[in-house]
This record gives sequence, C-alpha cells and structure tokens, in this order.
Amino acid sequence: MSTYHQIGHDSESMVVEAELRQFSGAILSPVNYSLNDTIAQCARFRSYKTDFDIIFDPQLYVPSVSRGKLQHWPHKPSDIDTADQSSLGWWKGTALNIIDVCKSFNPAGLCSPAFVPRTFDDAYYNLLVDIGDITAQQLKIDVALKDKTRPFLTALVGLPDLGRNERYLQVGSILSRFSGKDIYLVFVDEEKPRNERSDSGALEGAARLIRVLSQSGFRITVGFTSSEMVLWKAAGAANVATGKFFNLRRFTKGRWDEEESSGGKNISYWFEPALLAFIREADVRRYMKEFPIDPSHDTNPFSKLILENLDAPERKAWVKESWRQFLYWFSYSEALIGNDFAQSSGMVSNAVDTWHAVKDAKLRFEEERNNGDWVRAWDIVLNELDRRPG
Amino acid sequence: MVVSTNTPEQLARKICTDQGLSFVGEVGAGAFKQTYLVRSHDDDLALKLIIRGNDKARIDREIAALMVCNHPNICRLLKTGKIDDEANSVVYLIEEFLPGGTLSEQIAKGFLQHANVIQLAVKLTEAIAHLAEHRITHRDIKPDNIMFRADGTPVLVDLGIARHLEASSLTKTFLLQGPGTPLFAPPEQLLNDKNLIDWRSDQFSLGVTLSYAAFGIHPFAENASLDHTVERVANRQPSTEHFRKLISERGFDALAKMVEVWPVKRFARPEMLLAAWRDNLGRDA
Repeated sequence: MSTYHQIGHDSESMVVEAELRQFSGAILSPVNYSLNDTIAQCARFRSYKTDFDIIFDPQLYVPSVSRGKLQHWPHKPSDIDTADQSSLGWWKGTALNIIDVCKSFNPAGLCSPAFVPRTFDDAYYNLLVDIGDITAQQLKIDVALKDKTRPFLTALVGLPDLGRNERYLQVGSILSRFSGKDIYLVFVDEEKPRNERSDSGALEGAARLIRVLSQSGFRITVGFTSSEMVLWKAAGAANVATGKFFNLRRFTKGRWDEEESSGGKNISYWFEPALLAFIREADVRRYMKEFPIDPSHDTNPFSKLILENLDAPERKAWVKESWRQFLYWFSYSEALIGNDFAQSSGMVSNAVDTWHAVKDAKLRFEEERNNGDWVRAWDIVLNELDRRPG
Repeated sequence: MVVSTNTPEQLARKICTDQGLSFVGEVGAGAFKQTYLVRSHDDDLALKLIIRGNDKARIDREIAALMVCNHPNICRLLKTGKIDDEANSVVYLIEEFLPGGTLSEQIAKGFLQHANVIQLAVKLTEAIAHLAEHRITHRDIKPDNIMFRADGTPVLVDLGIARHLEASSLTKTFLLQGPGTPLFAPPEQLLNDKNLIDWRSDQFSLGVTLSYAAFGIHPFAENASLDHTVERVANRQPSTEHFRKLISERGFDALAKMVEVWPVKRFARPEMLLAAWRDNLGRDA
C-alpha cells in the first residue's frame, strides 16, 4: 500500500522533500529527464531513503511530437514510428534494449514497453501481455538485474470502453494471463484538462477491473492518477501514482502536447478534500466564508502556508505550494484509506453532502466545470461496488 | 517400406515385427485411433495407429506435446514412427499401457469417494500445471481422457487437440469437427475466443470432470438436456444452486472457482489451484 511520485517536468526536487516523505517510491520519466539526469536522480533518491522504490516506465507510448528527452535515450528504437508494432520479435529487441539501459541505474521495477492503440480491442490487450511476458522472461535471465528488478505489465486500458457490459471481465481475463505479479495500470480517455472523470459506467468498469485483478492475486499500481484514486483504492489497488500536474491533467492521447505547451501549469489550485475538487483562489475565499475547510488541512503543512500567504499583505504566487498541497493530501489519504472501502466511501459521501450544501447556498465557483457532478458519479460507483461486490 | 494389406491389425503386427515387439491384441478403437496391446519383454505397451490420415496437424501436435512432457500423470510417449500402407503413410505411437481403464468407466460403477476425488484433483492439477509450464493447453480434459495405471495412478491422455500457445490456432476445428467435447469445455472454447484460451481453460474442464466424478452432475446442468447445459455455459450463466450446495456440503469449494465462467475469476496460477486441493488433502488427513 503505497504512493508513488509520477515524475514529470521539473518535479524531481519534490521527491526528496521532508514533508512529502510519505511517498514510498517514484516512477521515472525518460521523456522529461535524460539518462544521465536519471542516473543522478536515482542516486539522490536512494540517499534520501535507502528503500525508496524506483520504477522505470520506458514511456515509448508517447507520440513522436512529444518525446522530449526520450529521443536521446538508447532504448528508444530508431524505427519506432515505422516498425510493425504487432511483431513480438520487434518488442523482444526493444525489451532487451530497455533492460540494458536499466543496468546503469538499477530500478527496483521495470514496466514493460507499451503503445497506445487506435482501438482497445482484445488483440491489443493480448499483445500487451505477450510483450509483458517477454520483458519479464528477459529480465529473469539477465544476470545483472534478475535479483534487483521486478517486472511490471504495463496495461494501458481504454476507460470509456470499460462501460460496456462485462467488458472488464474480458479485459481482466486477458491481462491476468501475465506471468508476473505486478500490473502498472493506466486508464486512457479523452477527458479535457481540469475535468474530473465522471462517466459512472466506465469508472465502475475500471474499479471492477482493479478489483477482479487484485482478487486474482495481482498487485495493481494505478499510474497517472488524480483525486479519483479514492475509487481505485476502494477497489483494491495496492499502489497509486500521481504527479504535480495531476491537479490538471489526465492520461489522454493528447496530454503530452499539453505538457509541452505548459497546459496551464502556472495556475494555483487549492485542493479541497471536503469537495474532492481543485478550486481557484477566489473560490477558496468564497468557500471559507460559508463553510469550514476539511479538517485534514490542519495537518497539511502546505495548506497552512497557502492560507498564511493568502492573508499576507504582500501575497506571492503559490503554484508550487498548490502542487505540494495536493501531493501531501494524496499520500496521506492513500495511507488512511489503505484498502478500507468505508474510508473511501466516507470521503466521497462527505463530498456529495458538501456539494449539496454548496449548491443549496447558491455558491458558484469560477470554473464552470467545477460543479461537483463527478462526486455524484463516484458515489454511484462506490455504491454499485458495495451493492454488487462481483 | 510397402506392405501388402491395409487392415489396421495387420499394420500393427507388421510394426511389432519391425520393432521387436509381441502383438497381444486390440484394446480399443476410436474415431481417429486404433489401439493395440503389445509387449516388449515383460512390459505391456499401447500401440496406437492413427487410422484417419487426413489430420496431419492434429497428429503432429499430439506428438509435439507429448515429446516435451515428462510427468507421472501424463501419458508417456515412448516412440513414434510411420509405416507405409500402399498409398498412405500411417503414423503410429507407442505409449505406456494403461490397464486401469478410464475415469468414465469408474464413474459408471459409482461416484468417487471424497478422498479419491481430492487425490484425483491433486494429481491432475499437477499434470495441467506441467502442461502450463510448457505453455500447452490440453483443451479436451474429460473422464474419457483420464486413464489409470495398474497401481491406480491417474494419467491424462489424448493430447490430440492440445495447443501450444505460440502455435497457430486449431480452435475453429474444435466445434465444427470434434473431437473436442463441448460438454466439458469452458465458454472461451465454445465461443472460439482464442484470446482467452490458456491453462485456465483446462482448469474449467477439470472442474467439470471432477464434478462428474464426485456427484455425477455437470455444474451448469438444470435438466437432462446436454444442449441446454452447453448453451448455459456458452452464455456464461452461473453454475446451478444445486451444484453449489453440493460442493459446499462436501467441502469442495475449490470446484466453484474452477468452473467460473470468466478465466480471471478462476485460480490464476496452477500452484494456487494445487494449494487449494492440497489444503483439502491436509484437512482430510
């Protein structure tokens, strides 16, 4: 039961901050850091915490326009844009190159390479498992890494698709063929930045997928998550990973473009657990006039800093504190929830009630999307999981 | 080599002469094979002639599967060869002889005792675990394909439609031409969903087989209609309440998981299935 930093652009320093010690590991990003930077990062992370769990995601799924530093990594195949990606032979060669590059920084976990398909059909998931198995097999026979690095199956799963009747069982039946124990699960959709995922059918399918795979004995690490991690934890996910930009972004096919063009990363958001929402500065003031903020802020050092700053005569920009406030909430809430369904359910129910009160008070927030509709969807998902455990 | 006659028995006698074996007699005939008891010194052996020569891929697969297997609960292939029969080349297999008959024959005499069901489950799980280790799926586990040695050891036979997971699929022929038995098949085989076929498909078939051995019923049978039962499995309807009640009473809870209609809900690894049955064994000891 752990939280991981999803390393993003210029975010490595947060990993070693004392207030964020609750994170037990990091998922490295070759898109954002060069090989040499990554080697240095790993040394730094390990000196910060000897048991810090470092996982390498080769990130070959990013589109060509957004590969950043990945362009110069030795594991990036030169023919990545022209190769037949349905060829297992090609993936085997790629997996070997990835394993080779890992020897320079010895990650504790290695995610199998993956790609984002046009359609998330059975053949695609089957290929992902074959790639995962090949990577695991090669890792198992690698003299340098076999005792140091555990294999993860990278499973990029189409989220909207999971809303279809029993689709999660079909996908789960294929993914559970993986010979290893760890699955790095990433849900892919086309949700716009700053919008919370709110398709209750798809989210229920996703939660059920996590539940059925966890019950089958797999250790699920959900990558690229935001506050919807409360659903994944309730469903049985062992680990969840987030990054500083996940107050804004979700894993969409276009998200890398957003990252390149900064995607609004300079906007400060207050994360209010009582609403499970990211709200803007003026909203914080309006909200606090009528409602008590969530008690968890009492122990969140970044909430205190932000509030002091908001009251200061000369206010400073607080975007960095806003990232940290969210990360702090994320790691401590994950620890609080563990896999206690009632904890997650309680957090979501509380948010539903608070949003009712906000609406009754006719309080509106600056961003139109900030209407709390998603917490109703999340509440439905948890209610369904409880009503029909499956 | 050209022989002057094409009766299977004469071919068998000729093979015995060539291989230094003694011909004893016929022991069985199926749609595809004719089996004879032969003897090498003091050892009884089974000589199997593939009498339908138009299914080369199937024969090759059985031989390939048996060649990589080396397990006490999987039939031992000792030798394979071909004998020319005028126009055709007839493939033969020499295997260990299994005098204890089939599980079907045992069930016909009466359902197995509690402890015997568990012993059978453990041994056959070990066999499918061995196949899984070699990425082979048997795909036709049923009481007719489980035989016994003289000492009562159960042995899995007939890997005729076994599939190596890396090989191209024979699944399409499964339902159209037999010899796979739909009554014991999981939904993914009935629906020809090759993305879902793996060792867990054998787990399902073994679960149905054990249900017959223990209670004489199919877990999904609501009535005597076999078609209706197969249809219920193909439609992924739940096992019957009657079945669930029986397994609960007898402490065979592992069976419910084995016959789950979705592979992800079955035991994920052979060792997990084995542990579940060994746990039963421990409780009974």
